[in-house]
Amino acid sequence: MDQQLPKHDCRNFVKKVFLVLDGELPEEERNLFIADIQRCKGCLEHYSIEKTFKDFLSVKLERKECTNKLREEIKTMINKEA
Amino acid sequence: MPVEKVNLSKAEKDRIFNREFLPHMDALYNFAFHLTSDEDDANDLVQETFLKGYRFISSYQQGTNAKAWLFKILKNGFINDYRRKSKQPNRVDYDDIVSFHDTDDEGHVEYVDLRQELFQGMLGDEVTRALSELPVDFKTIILLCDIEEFSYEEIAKIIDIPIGTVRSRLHRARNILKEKLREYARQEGYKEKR
Repeated sequence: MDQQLPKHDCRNFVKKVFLVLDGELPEEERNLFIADIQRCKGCLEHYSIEKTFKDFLSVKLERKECTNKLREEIKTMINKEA
Repeated sequence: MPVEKVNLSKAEKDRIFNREFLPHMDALYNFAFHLTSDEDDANDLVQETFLKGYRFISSYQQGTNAKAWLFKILKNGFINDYRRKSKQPNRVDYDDIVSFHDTDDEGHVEYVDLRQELFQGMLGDEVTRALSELPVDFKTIILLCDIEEFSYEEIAKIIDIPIGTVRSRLHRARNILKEKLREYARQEGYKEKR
């Protein structure tokens, strides 16, 4: 696999890491990125940190839901519309 | 491509509304709450959004991206209210500053390293507080990408900015959020292990 990959350049990590984490790269490019960072301990560690941070935001940020009162008010409001 | 407006019956409107709009109520409320940091304001914003969505339902192309469409309506409603309120003399409007610094240029990319040990011990309300303190443009984009998982293309349409600006603004927003969380961690006495 290493023979098919270009020489590793840590600068590419910062440019691409969030494209990978945000799901913006095609699968093939994503797989190449993941394979590439396996060759660099620093990049692999940073990838793990960034992935954990993104997951952390999603899990830790308080998620608010509509109250039943609000749901009913919206339904009532829409029922009155022509 | 502009959507051809069709005349819909009340029954047809209700069907579209119930099937395609209502399922996104919680997501919209969550977005509204984190934008306004106030339950009553969030309630009003969500009600206004669904009302507008219903009244302009003929402009919506059935079976497409109702969630993004509604988020755009909510975002615009919030921005209109926000800009009106920010005209008050004692309010500082950071939006122009944020927008001014947006750039598609990725020649110089700053990177903020926030160690896992620092932020993993944090509580949800610390994260909520940190997010609430971000300028509105940064707060919005983090909510749309990291919480609601919209694509860059969808975010670009919701906020009405180029995709390149989505990337650069996200990058800046995440760095600022990390800095805030690092500061909280320091205040709370979390130790940064290196």
